[in-house]
Order: sequence, then structure tokens, then C-alpha cells
Amino acid sequence: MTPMFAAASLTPLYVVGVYMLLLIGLGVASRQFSKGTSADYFVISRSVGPFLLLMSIFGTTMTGFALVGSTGKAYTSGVGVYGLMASWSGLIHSAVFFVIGIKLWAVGKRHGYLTQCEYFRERFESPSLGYMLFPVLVLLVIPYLLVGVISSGKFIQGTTAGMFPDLFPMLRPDGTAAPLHGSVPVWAGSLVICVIVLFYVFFGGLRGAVWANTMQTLVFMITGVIAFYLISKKLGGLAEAGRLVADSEFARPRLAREGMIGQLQFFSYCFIPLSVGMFPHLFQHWLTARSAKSFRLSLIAHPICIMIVWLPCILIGIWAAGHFGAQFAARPNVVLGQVVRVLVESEFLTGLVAAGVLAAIMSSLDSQFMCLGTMFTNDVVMRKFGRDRFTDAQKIFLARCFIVGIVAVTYLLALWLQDSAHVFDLGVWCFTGFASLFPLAFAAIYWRRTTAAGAIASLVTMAVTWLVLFYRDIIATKPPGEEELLIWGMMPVAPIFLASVAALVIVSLLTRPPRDSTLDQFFPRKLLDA
Amino acid sequence: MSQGTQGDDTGGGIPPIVIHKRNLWPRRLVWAWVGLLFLLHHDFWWWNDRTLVLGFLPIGLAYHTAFSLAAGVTWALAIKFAWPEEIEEWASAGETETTGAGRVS
Repeated sequence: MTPMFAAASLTPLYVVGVYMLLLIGLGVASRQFSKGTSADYFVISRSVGPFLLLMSIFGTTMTGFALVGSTGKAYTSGVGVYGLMASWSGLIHSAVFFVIGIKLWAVGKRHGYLTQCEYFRERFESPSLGYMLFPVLVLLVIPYLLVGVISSGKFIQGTTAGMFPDLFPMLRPDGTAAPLHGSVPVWAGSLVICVIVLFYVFFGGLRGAVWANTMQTLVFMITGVIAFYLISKKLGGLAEAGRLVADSEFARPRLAREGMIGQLQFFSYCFIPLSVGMFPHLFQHWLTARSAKSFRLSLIAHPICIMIVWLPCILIGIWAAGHFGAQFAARPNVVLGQVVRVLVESEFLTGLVAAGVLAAIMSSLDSQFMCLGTMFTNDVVMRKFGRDRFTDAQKIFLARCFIVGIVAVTYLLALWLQDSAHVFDLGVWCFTGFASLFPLAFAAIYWRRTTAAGAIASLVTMAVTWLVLFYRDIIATKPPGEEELLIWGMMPVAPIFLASVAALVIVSLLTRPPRDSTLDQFFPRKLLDA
Repeated sequence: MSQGTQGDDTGGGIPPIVIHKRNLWPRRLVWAWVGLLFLLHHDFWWWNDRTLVLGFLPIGLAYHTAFSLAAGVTWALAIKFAWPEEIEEWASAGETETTGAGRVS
């Protein structure tokens, strides 16, 4: 095995530092194109085209969950992890774009909606629904932000091991150096990443976020391919890496799913990708895209891009199981950082790959930050005080204050949960919540009989069941032997989703249907033309 | 789409969406294929198989990689044969005819 405590050079950190400066420069540059209005700041005047849309959607979807989380999960649970998320997402994400996205785009274009609260409020003629939906969306975005904040801190910690032995010592009780001795602590790494993302988002608004997303998505895809090549080369080539796994007692079971993932658990992951139907940033893209055709590239390229990112990560995860054995079994979040540090021999390339991984993480944080600010300004401040109460500059200032507040809460939660919560599991919980809101979006578009009371019942049912099960799985101490919460062998998303559907259907049928004049705005008649 | 149809049957309200009959079968076929892919995702036949394809790629992972490619091809076909042009026409015909209550712009 490669020695773990070779003298560490600071070169990778310098490379990452230069990349961060580039991002800050991009934020400043994008500001030069600003028209100075809140519309331009929040939605770039509805001018996002196909390529930027793909990069933004894909970059935001592929967070630390897809890199740090998938590698760590493959290290612990094997190759089946690809089927759990990547291949299901390839099919279902695009299906949701097709079934939900295009219809929402049409409604957004006709009515000029910007956020999902606004859409649902008017679709169901219920201001209460809008006010209730907002905190639930924020509640669900927080785990997504947590994934990014924890991933960045953990990844930086993993890749900087040995760089600062005097500043950040980490010694075992017997006085010998622990694997992460001398590494930048999680609190510092996460803080730096949050501040940088806040900086370019504040400077450039959504334009800055979309530009940064595009650059970062390209960077992490290219560096990912480079990293995969370097790591496989270091292991003696692809075939040798495969043999390493097959010969390892710890890693060999991870070549298949038996004993790693249950059949029902595997199937029930099909609910998770439905989350894209309710992600606030995607909803906003659907409502504000330049044309429906802008989505075509995303529909085709999304499954392929997911494959390009996930396949190397899964392979690296099982190779890590073969190379390191069980030494990181309790800390899978650090596996990718350790692999990059130990198996990418060039210091410059280590820095480049590290910048790529952090790019993936930041490209999710920026869109989420922007989206939260837009929702707060649009759905709370302007609803409460009226559209003309504040100037454009004041609206932007209020959005920034809200974003800083949410980031501060997320950062503190990240420090609390950094060791107990696995990035992959946190990500799945976030997706579980949004997926369980999918019935609301689907019914709003396709079922005329859905009522405001039914929508509220579905929302409340989802929120309560999600909170109870999330607490049980992530926060509460688990019973001995229970690693992951399953309900009847399925992921919690299945029962939460079904409860949400049941509440929506039953309460809708028991309450008065919406007015025809309202429904006619959202359900145009269909005529068949020979 | 026959432009003359739009708005004629609505008495000045929201125009209908006009769907060409010739588009129905391709759409049904595309969605049937998507349904089949959904079922094919659950590859229980590779569940306990540790064979390495090309010496490095576990067979279950190889299958799901191919599945991802098939998904990309499926959506390319869906765009070619099942794209809902009529929704675009409907949206463009009445852009911002009503106003969202609390827009930023």
C-alpha cells in the first residue's frame, strides 16, 4: 500500500487558490453585463439558452452528492450504487422534464410566473398554500446545501492531509499521526467555500451563478476524466485495478449487489429522481426559459452527462475499497479526498482535480443560494409589502440578507452533523422530500379536480412524515445494527410519497372543486386535428 | 396546426391546444418504450454476478452504463417523434396574457 504520510507539498492548495481567484474574477466580470435591475439579477431577463441551461441544470444537480457521496457510497455498498441513482436518474429526470417541465414552461410563458410558490398560489387560488410551501422548500433545500458544505469541508480535509502538521495536528492517543494529521479542518474548508460562492453570487446574481456553473461543470467533467486516468494508471491500469478489487476480501463483495443492497430497496430508488419535478431552481428554469426548445439538449445530454460523472466515481469507490481496505469504513465522506491525495502523483494535477471536485460542489451551492433569494424576495417580501414598496437595490439587498442567514444556519448544522451524517444519505433525504412533493406538481398540471385543501393536505402530510423519518435516520441515535432506515425493505421515500398521494386525492375528492374560470387558465381544451 | 382554429372555439377565452392525430401513435410508442426501460432497470439476473467485463467493469455496472446510453437515445427519439409542438404554439399565442401577482420584474 502507498505510504499515507509522505511530506505534503502546498502546491495543490495553490492550484485550488488560483481557481478560486478565477471564480471571484468571473463574478466581478459578470457584473459588468448587469442591467442593474432586479429582473436581470434574479432571472437574467429570461435569456438562458440551451447550452447554459444544460450546464446549469446538470451542474446544479451534480453536487458533492455525485462525487464525494457516490464514491464513498460505492466504497461501502458497491457497484449497485450506480443503478440506485445514476441510471434511474438518466431515465426519470428527462421524463420529468418532458412531462412536467414543458407544461410549466408554457404556463410560465403565458402567465409570467417566476417561482413555484407563485404558480401554485395562483393555480389553487390559495395564498396560504404559497406561504406554507415556502418554508417547506427552504427546509428541504437545507440538506442539499448541507451536502455541499460538508462535502467541501471533508474533501479539503482529505486532500490537505499532512500540509499543516503544526497548525492542525491530529494525533492518536499513542502519539502517532492520524490519517488526517495536519489537514485543513472541516470548519475552515467549508467556511472558505461558502464565502467564495456568496461572493460571486452577490456580485453577479443569477448571471454570475450561471456563468460560474458553466465553467465549473466543464472543469469538473474534464478534471474527472483526468483524475480517473491518473488513478487507474497508478493502480497499474484498468485490468489491474479490477484484479485488485477481485482479490480483496473487503472489496470483492462490492462487485455485485448481493448482501449490499436489497431488491426492494433498489427498486424503491425509482421515486428519488422525481425530485427534479419540485427542485426550486429547476422549477424556476422551467418557468423562465427562453423557449421550450431550450430544454432539448438537456433532455438528451443529461443521462449521458450523469454517466460520464458517475461511472468513474463508482469505479474509484470500489478501487478505493481494494486499495485502502476497511480503514475508511466509518468515514466514507473522506474516501475521494484520500484517493486523490494518495493516487494522483503530480502535485499540480492533484490541485487541478481538487479544484474540479470543489467546482462540482460550488456549482450546486450557487444556484441554490440564488434560488432561495429569489423565492424570499418574490414570495414573501413582495407578497407581504407589495411590488412597489422596495426599490430594485433594496430587493437585491433583502435577498442577500436572507441568503446569508440560510448559509449561516447551514454552516452551523454542517459543523454539528459533519461526522454523523453521510453525504450520500443526506442527499437522498433531500431528494426524498422533493420527490414526495412531486404528486403536487403532477396533479396541479394534469388533474383538474385537485383542490387547494388537497394540495395543503399533501404538503403537510409530506412535511410531517419526512421530518419524523429524517429525525429517526439522521439525527437520532440508531439502534445497534441498523445502518440505514428502510421501511418494509424500501427507502423511506416510497411510503412518504404514497402518503402524500393519498392525502392529495382523498382531501381533494372531499372538498369543493376549483372554479372553472380558474381551471380554464391552466387546462386549455384539447382539439384533435386530422 | 391550423392557425384559424386557434381562438375560434373559445369565445375569446384561452385558445385550445390542437393536437395532430398523426402525432398520437409515435408518442404512444415512445412512452411504451420508456415503460419497458423502466422494467428493464431492475436487472435481478446480474444481482450476484461478479464477472468483470473487459477485465475491469463489473457486469451489473456495465449493464447500467448501457442503460444510461439507452436513456439518452430514448429521449433523442422522443424529441424527434413525440415533441409537443402544440404546447409551444399554445404558449406563444398567449404570452403573458395574464399577469403573475408578485413578479420581481
